[in-house]
Amino acid sequence: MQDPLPHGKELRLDPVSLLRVRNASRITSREACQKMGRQEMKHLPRECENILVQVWSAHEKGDKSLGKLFLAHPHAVPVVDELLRTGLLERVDGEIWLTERGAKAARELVRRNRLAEVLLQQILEVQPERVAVNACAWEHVLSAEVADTICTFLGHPRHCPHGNTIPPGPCCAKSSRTVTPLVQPLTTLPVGGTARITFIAPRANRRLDRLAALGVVPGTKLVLKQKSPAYVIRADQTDIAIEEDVAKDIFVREITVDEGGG
Amino acid sequence: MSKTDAPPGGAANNESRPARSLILIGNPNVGKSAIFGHLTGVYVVVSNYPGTTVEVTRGVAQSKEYEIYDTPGANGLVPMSEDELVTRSILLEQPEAPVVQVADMANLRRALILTSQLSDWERTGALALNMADEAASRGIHVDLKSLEQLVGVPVRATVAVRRSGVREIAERSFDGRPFQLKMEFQEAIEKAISDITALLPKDMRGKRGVALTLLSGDETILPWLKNQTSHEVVQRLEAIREHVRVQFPGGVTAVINTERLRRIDAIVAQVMRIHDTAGNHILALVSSWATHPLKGLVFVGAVLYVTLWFVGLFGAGTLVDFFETFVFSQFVSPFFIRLADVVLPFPHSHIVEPVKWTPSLPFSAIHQVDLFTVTRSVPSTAYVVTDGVFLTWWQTTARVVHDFFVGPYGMITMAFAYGFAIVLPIVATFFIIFGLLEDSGYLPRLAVMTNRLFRTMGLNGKAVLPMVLGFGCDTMATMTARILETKKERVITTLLLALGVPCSAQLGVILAMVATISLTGVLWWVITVAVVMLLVGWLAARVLPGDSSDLVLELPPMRVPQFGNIIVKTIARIEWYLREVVPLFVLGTALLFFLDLFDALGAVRNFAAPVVQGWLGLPAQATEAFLIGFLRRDYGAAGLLQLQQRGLLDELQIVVSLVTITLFVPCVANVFMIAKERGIRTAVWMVVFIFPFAFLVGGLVRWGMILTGSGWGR
Repeated sequence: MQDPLPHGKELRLDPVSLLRVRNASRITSREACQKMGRQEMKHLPRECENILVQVWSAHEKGDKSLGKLFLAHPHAVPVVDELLRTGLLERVDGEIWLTERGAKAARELVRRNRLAEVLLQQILEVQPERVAVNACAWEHVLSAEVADTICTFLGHPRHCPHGNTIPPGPCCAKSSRTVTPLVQPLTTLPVGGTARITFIAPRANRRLDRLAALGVVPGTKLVLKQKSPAYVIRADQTDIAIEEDVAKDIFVREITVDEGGG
Repeated sequence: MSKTDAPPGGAANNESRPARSLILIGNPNVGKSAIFGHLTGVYVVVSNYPGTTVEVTRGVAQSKEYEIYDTPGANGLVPMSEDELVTRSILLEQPEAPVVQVADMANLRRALILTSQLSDWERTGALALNMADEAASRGIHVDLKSLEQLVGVPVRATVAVRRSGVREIAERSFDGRPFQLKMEFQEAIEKAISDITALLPKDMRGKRGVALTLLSGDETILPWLKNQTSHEVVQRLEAIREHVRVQFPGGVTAVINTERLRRIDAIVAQVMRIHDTAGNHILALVSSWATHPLKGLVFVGAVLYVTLWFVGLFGAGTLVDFFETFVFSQFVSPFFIRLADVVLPFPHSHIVEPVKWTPSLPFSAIHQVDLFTVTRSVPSTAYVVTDGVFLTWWQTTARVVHDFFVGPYGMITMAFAYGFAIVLPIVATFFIIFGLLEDSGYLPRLAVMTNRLFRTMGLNGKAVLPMVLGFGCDTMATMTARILETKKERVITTLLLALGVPCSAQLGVILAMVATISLTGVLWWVITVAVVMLLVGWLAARVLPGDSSDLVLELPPMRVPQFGNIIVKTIARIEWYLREVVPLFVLGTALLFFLDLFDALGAVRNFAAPVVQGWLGLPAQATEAFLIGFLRRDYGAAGLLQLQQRGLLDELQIVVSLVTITLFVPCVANVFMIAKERGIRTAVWMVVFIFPFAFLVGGLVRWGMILTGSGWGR
C-alpha cells in the first residue's frame, strides 16, 4: 500500500519522485540503513537506494543543487541523515556527495536500472511509459550476477533508452577485449550479415511453431539475404521469406568473421 | 469429384486392393508425388511449389504388391494448416502401415524434425533422402550408414525424377524397423508425457506422439482421442495439458521444437558434410533478382508480358482461331449438320454462310502477322423450314432432336464447339505457363513481391498461389486455398476468387472482347475490377472474424523446369478440367435449349429487363448470356462476345458487360467446391452477395462512364 502522502502529487513531479517514505517504515528503514552500513545486508531498503540513485543521476548531470533539495525536503531528510551516518553520503561545503562506498553502491543500482530499461523496452517491448516504473522496481531486486547475465544477453549495451550511459560491469570489461556483438532484432542486422538466433519473442505461439517447423529456432544460424519487399533469410540450406513483423521479433547475435562459422 | 477425392490425374482405385499399404510422408516440396508417380505409374501433379498436393492420393504399386498413399507435405505432425491435418489424419487412420519418409537431402535438418515425431508415434518404415543429385551439386554429402544407425530405419539416397532408388526404399519400408530418433525433454514435459501415457489405452500405438501433440496445444486431435478413449479421459488429459501450458508462457511447442533441433543439429553435424562448390550461379542470381524490390518488379512485368503473349495472343488468338473458325466452323459443325439432316430428316434448308479463317502468328504481345485466309461456304445452324409444309409428329420430333445436337443451342454446335474449340486452347496455354512458373520455383518469390498488396486484404503473400491458379481454374484454386493457415484467410481467398478472378476460359473470351475496345474502356474494366477486389478484400478483412497469419514461406531453390514434366502436368490438369467442365457445358446448353424450345427465354428476358436493360443499359439478348453465366461465367462471357460480334453492343455496353460478367457468380463447379471446402452456408452467402453486387457495380460503371464522358466513340 502506498502511503497517502499529503505531498504525493508534488513528489511525483519532484526529482525525488521515487521516494516513497512510509510512516510505518521510517524506523525500520533507519535500522536497515544502519545494518547496511555494517554490511550485513546485500540490498539496501528502497528508500536508501532511491536516494543514492538520485544523487548519482544528479551528479551525472552536473546538477549539484539536488543535494540541497534533499536536505530541504522533509520526507527525504531522515533517509539522507541515515545515509550520511552510515557513510554512504557525505556533506562537503553544504552539498551532498557520494562517498566512495556510496558511489560503488549507486553505480550498481544505476547499472541495474538502465539494463532493465533496455531489456524491457527493446526486447520485451513494454510500453515506454511503463518502462521507468518497472525498471525502478527491478533495480532493487536484481542480483549482480543476474545483471551481468542480462548485460551479456543484451550485448553489453552502452546506453539506456533515454541515452544515459550504463555504467559498465565486470562482464563488459571482459567482452571489450573480444568485441562481442550486440543482441539485436533481425531488422537491424545488415543485409548479408550472418547471425545466430538468440531468441524469438513469443508474440504468437503459432508463428513460433511455424518457424520451428522450418528449422528456425533459437540457436539457428542464419544469413540475412534481403530486407525488402520482405525479409529473406537462409537458415540451414533453406531460404525463408518472412515479413517485417516477424523479423522484428527475431533477436540475433551477429557473427563476425573472426568468430568463424561456429 | 469422387469419394476418394483424387486430385488431377486421379489414382487408380478400381483394381483389387492389395493387403499391404505404405504411406509417403515428408516436408513440402521434397518429391513425394514424383515418387508416388514412379511407384504407381499414375501421374499426379508434381511441381516446385510447396502445397501442390492438398489431398491424399491412393494408388496401387506397379508390382501390385502394395498400396501407396501420397500425402500433402507436412513440416510436422502437429498440424498447422488443413493440408497438414489431412496428412496427420491418414497416419491415424492407418496405424499399422509403414511410412516412407521422403526428405530433401539438402534439408536433412528439417526432415529430421518429422523423423523424430514419427519416432514418437512409433511408426515403422524407411527414410528416402531425395534430390540426392541436387544435394551433390551443392556439395552436400550425407553419411547414410551413420544416419541409418541414428534413425533406426533403412536410409537410401534417391533421385525421384530419375527413378533412382525409389522402388528399393519402398520395399525396404516393409522391414518393420521402427523410427528411433527419440528425444528427451525437460523434466516438467517428461512428467506430463508419462502422466498422459498412463491415461491412454495400453495397446495404443504412439502414446508419446499423442502426448506431445496434446502438449503442443493441438485441438484437432481431440475428436480422435475421444473416439479412442472417453470423454472423461480427454478432460483429464486436457487438465494435464493446461497444467503444463501455464509453466511455459512462450509455448510448449517452442520448448519441444528447440530441444528437438538441438539434438538434430548434433546429428546433422555428425552425418552431413558440406563442401563449397561453385553451385549454379545463374539460378542463384535469378533467384535473388526475383525477390529484389526493383528487379523483382521487372521480373513480374516480364512474366505478365510473356503470359499475355502466350495465353492472350497465341492461345486465345491463333489457337482458338484455328480450332474454332477452321476446324469447328468449317469442318466439324457442317459435317454434323449434314449428318443430322440425313439421320433426322424434316423439310428444311440451312442458310449457307462463308466462314473466313485467317491464321496469324503473334511475334510479341502487341503485334501479330496474318498469314493467309481460307474461306469456305458452309451450312450454319440457322435454317428455314420449307414453306407450306406441315410437320408430322415424327418430323417435329426429328426437328427437336436435330436442334438438340446441331441447332443454335446444340450440343455439338454450341457445347462442344465452345468447350473444345474455345476453352481448351486457352486453358492448355495457361496451364503450360503456370506449370513453368511452378516448376521454376518462381511462385513463392511472387508471393514475396505481392505480400504487401495481399496484406491490405487481410491475406499474406501465400495467397498468390490460389489467386494465380484461379486465372486457370477457380474451382481448382478454391481447393488450393487449403494451404493458407487461418480460416479467415481461406474464406477471403475463396470470396475473391469467386468474385473477381476470371478463369482462363473466361479471360480468353474477355480478352477477345477487350481487343476491340479503346484503351479508356480497357482501363475502366481493369481498374474497376482491381478496385472492387481490393475494396471487398479490405472490407472482408475487417468484417470477418478470426486472425490473419504472417508471411513465413519457404523459397525452394530456382530450377530449370523439365519440359517433360510440364507437358505431363498440363495434360493431367486439362484432363481434370475437361472432366469437371464439359458436363457443365452440356448442362448449360441443354438448359438454354429447353428454355428456347418452350419459348421461355423471352419470359426470362422480360423478367430481367429492368435490371439488364434498365440498370445496365444492355440489349435484351444479354439476359441469355447472364443466364448461362450462372452455369459458367466464361460461358456467359462467350454469349456476350457473340452479341458483340453481331454488332449489338457499343463500347460503353461492352465495358459494362465485361465488368458485370467478370464479377458475376462463380460457375456451378466452383460453388460446389466452395460448399465442400468452406461449407454450404458460406457458399450460399457468397452467391447471395456476389450476384446483386456484380449488377450493382456494372450499373455504377455505366453511370460513371456516362458522367465522365468516356465510352463514346474511340
